[in-house]
Amino acid sequence: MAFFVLFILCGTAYAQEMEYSGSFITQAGAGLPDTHHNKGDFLVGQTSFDSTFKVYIEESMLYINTILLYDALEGQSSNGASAFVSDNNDFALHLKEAYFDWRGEKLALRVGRQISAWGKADDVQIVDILCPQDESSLYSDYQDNRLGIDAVRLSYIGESTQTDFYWIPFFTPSTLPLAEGNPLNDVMFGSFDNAPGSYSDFDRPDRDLSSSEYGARFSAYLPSFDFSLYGFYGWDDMPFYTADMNGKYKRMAMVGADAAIPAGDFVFRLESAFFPQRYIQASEGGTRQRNQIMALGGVDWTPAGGWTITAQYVADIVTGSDSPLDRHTYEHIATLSVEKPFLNETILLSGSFAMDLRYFSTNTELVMEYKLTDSITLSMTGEFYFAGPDKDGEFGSYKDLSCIILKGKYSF
Amino acid sequence: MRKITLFCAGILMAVASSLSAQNADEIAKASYNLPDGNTSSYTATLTLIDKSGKSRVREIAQYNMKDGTTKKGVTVFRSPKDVAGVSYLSFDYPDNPDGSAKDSDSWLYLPAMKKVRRVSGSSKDDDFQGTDFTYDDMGDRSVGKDTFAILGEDTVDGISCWKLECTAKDKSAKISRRVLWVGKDNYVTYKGEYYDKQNKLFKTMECQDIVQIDGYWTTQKMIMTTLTTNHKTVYEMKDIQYDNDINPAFFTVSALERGQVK
Repeated sequence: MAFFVLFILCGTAYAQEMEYSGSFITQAGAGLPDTHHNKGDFLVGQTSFDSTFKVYIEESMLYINTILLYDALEGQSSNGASAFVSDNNDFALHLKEAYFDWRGEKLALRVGRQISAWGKADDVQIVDILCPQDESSLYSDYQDNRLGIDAVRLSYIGESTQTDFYWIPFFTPSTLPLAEGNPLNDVMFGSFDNAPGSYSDFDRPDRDLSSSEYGARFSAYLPSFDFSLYGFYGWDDMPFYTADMNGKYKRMAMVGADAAIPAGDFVFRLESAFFPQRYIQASEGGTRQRNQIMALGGVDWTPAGGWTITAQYVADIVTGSDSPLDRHTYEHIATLSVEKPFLNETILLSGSFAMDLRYFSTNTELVMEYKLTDSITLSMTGEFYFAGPDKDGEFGSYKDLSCIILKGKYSF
Repeated sequence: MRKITLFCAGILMAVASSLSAQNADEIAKASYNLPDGNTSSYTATLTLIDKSGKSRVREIAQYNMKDGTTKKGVTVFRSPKDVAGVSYLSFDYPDNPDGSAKDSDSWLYLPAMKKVRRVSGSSKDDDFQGTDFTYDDMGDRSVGKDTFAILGEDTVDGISCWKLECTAKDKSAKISRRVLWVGKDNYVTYKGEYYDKQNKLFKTMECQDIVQIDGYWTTQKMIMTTLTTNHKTVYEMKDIQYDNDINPAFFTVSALERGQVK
């Protein structure tokens, strides 16, 4: 911490320009009447202070983003890399990003903790595997759940292309809901007697050069379409469990591609990834290695009147038979989202819907945002999870976490 | 004799109409092609005022560059703070050989998403970030989107103007007809009226502080009022520079993604 303070002070002394911005968010949410033991219980109770500091010196930039968070439900947990968490899991200090960035004529360099988003999909993880997700937060936006990776990113920049190479010396796992106060803890670990309680319970990759992760992306932005190619060799961000719930991280490789094709009021999006011999969790514990393909087809439609309508279909296929995997070899979901501003964008109504097409379990999110002033936004969100008619399915396991959330945000 | 007179009058009207239509196209093209430098940049404040007088403010930075026949532009939001850093890159192309408008190539960078998103470049009829201006109003609406006619002549603050009628070719457009007061001497727009599909006056535009900067005609202030809601937006430009030294790298998706344009 002292190092960062010194770094900022030295940077600001020579800075040509500085920016400080951030937001203060407070939110509370309670379980709906059909959430059984969670009925009327608080499922969200957080206050957070997000601050971003940027220093520009010639062609370089220093960027630091931190979040100080208080969780009244004592549901915070650390992944051992991204946050300090108090002993009773109520306070957390996240260093989301802290890097310096330099850009020359053709080359660019970014060094430090950083977030990169891969892929063209919305809120679906296909090629977007570079940064792990905060899996301890069910109600946050997909993009807010990305965790920073400690990496060196070297880029070669053309007029309409960009090639990025990543070296990630230190592995950052996804954050899991290990704290008992986290409502997701019960869903993820409630049925196990010897569930992990902290990251020291996991068998994590060694901190040496041979455990490094590597990534590469080539992107082209052309008059008729954009496309990207991806390659990754690293670690799966989620652990795999033995029968007695010992968690271990496994190696993973991926090649992928995506495209965005505009056509009138529409933009068609395609994305696909191939994971050779990926480790898959087995239902009785342990793993099996299988080839996996994930693919997405989506469309954005922006008709007149400020409407934005997005639909996606995602297929997830692994080779071989279902047994003994803790999943089906063919899983697929469909999503639909609609957004429309009103009263000169003072009010924003949005809704998103996802359905797993095997068991027809669903997740619906309805949001109403009201801009009280340019700085203050008030919102109400309804999160609804329904099981399928025969089985819980992908979203049904969260059916006791359906809730209404009230939120206030001050931006500065 | 009476038949001959009527016949001659008919021919004269047809010729006049033809000349008028031709002139209307020429005026529209001259107005669209007003010189504005190979590069330009400015900051703009957009003040949104509702019917009760309550105001909200947006501030943007705009950078433009011509690359052959392509007009490249980057818009960066500086305020309000919850959208600061949102950037929009657009490449606008000349109309197709058949006179129809060609779609722009457009990308949107949302800092919260950490990635650049390809967006539709066809529909620019939508309101620009809750203001009373549309994306078309903010840029140069392609000549290929309208047919033109001269409705007459008028003066605005003592300036002699053509009253140019622009009728949208797209019958479903929210604004079906615009009447613009275009200066006879400089082809600058001094005033505008916008009509909806029912041909009812929907919005009015006032242009103020029209001056020459570095030899280029510049409208420094525009007020757009939506009559149905009595909501208006005041658009004021400052720090206007032409033919300035703008890094061509600004007009790339990479620059957006790295937050290089600010």
